[in-house]
Amino acid sequence: MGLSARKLSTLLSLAFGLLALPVAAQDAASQRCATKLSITLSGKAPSSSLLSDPNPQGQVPALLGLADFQEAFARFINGAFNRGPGTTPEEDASYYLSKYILQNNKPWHELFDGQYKVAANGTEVQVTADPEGLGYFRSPAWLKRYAGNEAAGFKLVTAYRLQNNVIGLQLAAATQTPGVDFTLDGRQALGCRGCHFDSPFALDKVARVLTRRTGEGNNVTFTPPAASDLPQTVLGGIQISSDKDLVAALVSSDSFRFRACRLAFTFLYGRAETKLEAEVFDRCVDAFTADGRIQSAVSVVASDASFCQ
Amino acid sequence: MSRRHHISRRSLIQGAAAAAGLSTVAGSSLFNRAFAQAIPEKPVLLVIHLGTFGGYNSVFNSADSFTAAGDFGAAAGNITNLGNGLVVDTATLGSMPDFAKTHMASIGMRHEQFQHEAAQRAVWGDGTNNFGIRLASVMGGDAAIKCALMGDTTPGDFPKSPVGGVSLQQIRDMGPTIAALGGGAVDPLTPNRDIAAGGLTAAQQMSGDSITKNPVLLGTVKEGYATSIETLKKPVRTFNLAALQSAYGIGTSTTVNGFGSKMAAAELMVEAGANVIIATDGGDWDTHDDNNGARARRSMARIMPSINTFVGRTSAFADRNVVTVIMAEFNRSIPNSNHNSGMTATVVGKYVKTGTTGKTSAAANLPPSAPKPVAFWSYLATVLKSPTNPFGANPHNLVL
Amino acid sequence: MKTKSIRALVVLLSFVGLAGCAGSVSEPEGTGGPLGIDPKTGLPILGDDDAPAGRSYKAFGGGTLGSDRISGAAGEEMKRVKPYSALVGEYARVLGKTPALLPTFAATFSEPPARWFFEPEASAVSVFSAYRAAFQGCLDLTATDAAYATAPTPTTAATECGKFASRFWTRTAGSAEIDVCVNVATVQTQPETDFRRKWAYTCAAVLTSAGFLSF
Repeated sequence: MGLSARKLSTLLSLAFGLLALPVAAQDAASQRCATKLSITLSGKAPSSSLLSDPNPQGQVPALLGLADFQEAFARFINGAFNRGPGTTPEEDASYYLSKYILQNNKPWHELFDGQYKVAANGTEVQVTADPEGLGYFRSPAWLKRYAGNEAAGFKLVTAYRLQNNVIGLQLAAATQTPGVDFTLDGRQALGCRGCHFDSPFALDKVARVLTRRTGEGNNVTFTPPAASDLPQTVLGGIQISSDKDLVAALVSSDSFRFRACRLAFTFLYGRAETKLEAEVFDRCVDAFTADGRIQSAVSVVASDASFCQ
Repeated sequence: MSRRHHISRRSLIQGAAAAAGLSTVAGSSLFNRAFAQAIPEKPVLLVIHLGTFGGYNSVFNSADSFTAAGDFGAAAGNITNLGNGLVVDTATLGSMPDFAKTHMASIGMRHEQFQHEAAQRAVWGDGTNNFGIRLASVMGGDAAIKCALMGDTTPGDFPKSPVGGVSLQQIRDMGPTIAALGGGAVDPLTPNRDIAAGGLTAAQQMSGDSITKNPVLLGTVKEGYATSIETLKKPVRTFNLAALQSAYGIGTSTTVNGFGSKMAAAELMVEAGANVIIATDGGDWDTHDDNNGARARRSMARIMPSINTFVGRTSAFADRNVVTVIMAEFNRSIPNSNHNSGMTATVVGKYVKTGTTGKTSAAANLPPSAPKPVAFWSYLATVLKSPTNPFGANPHNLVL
Repeated sequence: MKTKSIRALVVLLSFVGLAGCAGSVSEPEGTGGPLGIDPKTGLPILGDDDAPAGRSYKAFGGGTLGSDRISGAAGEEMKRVKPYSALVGEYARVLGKTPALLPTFAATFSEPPARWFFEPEASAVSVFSAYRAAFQGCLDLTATDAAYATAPTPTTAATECGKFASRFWTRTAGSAEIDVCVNVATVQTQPETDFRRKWAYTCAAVLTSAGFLSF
């Protein structure tokens, strides 16, 4: 296939370190689009082939298969799922597993329920198969990082993080009063029990089905939940007896699909979707629902004409 | 935007020799008094916030509260009485320069928040404005950069919007910062500052449409243009980077990331005329289960040498009234060093009267009657002798 | 003014098209048009009821997801600050090579730590550093071309400013933008006697604009 005159011109210009001047309006629009796509999806300037493509959005699927996207999106996810970078690499389990999911074209829900383990192996952090794995949620460093410090060992912080990571749950802190009681009794008091017991995401109920924490720091250990605490009814009427049950319910929900597309929008735009973008959002959800790949969600939004407007 | 929702100094010609000289004369009250009378003092506040999500164990600034039970490792042998009720941990606050030990107060506040983000919002703002940026906006001065963040680390939930025309400016590398202030080496590649100011003004104008349409996502670009143009219009300042690097033991690095470099950059910005300087240490400050205080002590031991260098050097600046604050979002509680409902901050400055309004109980609690955080900021405005105090009455009577 | 009015009309037409398109997929909740034109942006203002709300998504325990969506306006909050990782290639793309100063600005341009991401932010120091990098690159760009061997005049400056804009912003500059650029070339650079450096200053102003520093 021969080169078009415009492509040849562009290549020659690039060869001499120059761009064609002035740019025709259509070319300029496609070049701006190429730049936006490249920086958004890879964090880097566009390649010459993308820049010379009259329809750069046609290359979105290919861009989503590149290592640069996998790196950029895994960093984005790690930033979205944690309050700060891990103090050790293995604490950034969501970075490693999301990168693995992307590299191997796995369904996005496997980030949360796949049979994997993320752990340090010497100086490297590796993702390995683990029949007992639950995404990165049972990986040792993550378990310790978010074990919390509830006096009786109930992992309230883990209960929150699980739901935050999978469906984007945000809980606003309630204003406290002097002498507030943090014990189980105190958490049942008016003003606390909303988040802890009454809401569909009740932290104390969810924590009951999780392993219990004993000890502190590097000496922390986990023991199975008490049989008498099982099952718990959460999420508006769903019975769960384990973290696996919880995650299974979460990833089957509208909330999970909504979260996936909000993540896609935030990655692509630096902000959540607006009402004006609801239609694109709906197509994003459709695509994500159809094949379960986060790349499909990102692709719909990045390929829409509005992205390059 | 739509109607309802919107994605809303004296140059430091202070080489090592000069610094040593100042250190020598720092003890000379005659020298300082003479200069204090001759040179108006510019107020400068440095706030050191412990942890992105952290805490400030009151064993350091209310040490005698814990000796009876030995909580957090406090004992009669490791505390120092600085007078007027202020007893501090000997190895840390007790290791500070003599100036600090005679001009230090513990200031208590209660905000009734136990969660990091909520407590950070409470100690740093009123729900809308950042108290630090607000204070910077009323302290006067002619510097373009009035409120500076050392590095890019802030407390986890930290309001950053401009207040009163003052924006928070990140200082991530001392080299380019010195160049922006006019103190870098001049060579053929160095743009003329007047022309550069005109060029950036033009760039700002040519960016107007983008900035208008993207008020949130390009908000820092808008603030960056305005402040850089102002900076270029100010008189050139010179700095002795090598002396700073040597004093803070950071080798030849100019990047502002570790705590030593943040304190070096803070001194640079004191010299540059900033009003409020904020440095967040990203270390191990969320010290749960630290019943013997060992983790908190390790963290404090790591940062104290740089704080001591900063306080020792800047307290010798006759034309500056530098107030240094160590704080976090809350104290650690007993048992298990969890989150408390208030905080006792450490304040060091020329007009700080030694004492405490932040003495905690043996259980690490401040009394329910302890003032709110806004009153703490009123105290800071008072000891800074800020021309305006926007925080209301100061209930903390520890002012010289 | 004329430019603004035309732009507003074009955007308004685009909006009408978009709303119609959306309606074919899902029924918009509102039936009214834009509330008016935002005087600051020249863009149509949409109320909550005007935006195509799309489908509803069920939250656990009842309720609907997405109630926190903002209305926004077409074309609003679409641009972001270019990260350092992109600037390396971007300067090279528009100048032919990366200014030698640029690598010394990695920290200033806020490169995130390993495995982490944060939205890039500008500062006074990063903006001036961008100007320094641009000036260095522009000295090279204007070093040999005959067009930069003589002092800029209003006419030649208008021509070259247009070329700089096309090269750096990948779009045609508006007349107001050309006027600002010409003023740099013919007025702001008067203290400079070297003609090529005058042009380099002019070039640097365009290269430090949001048209290049954002995407």
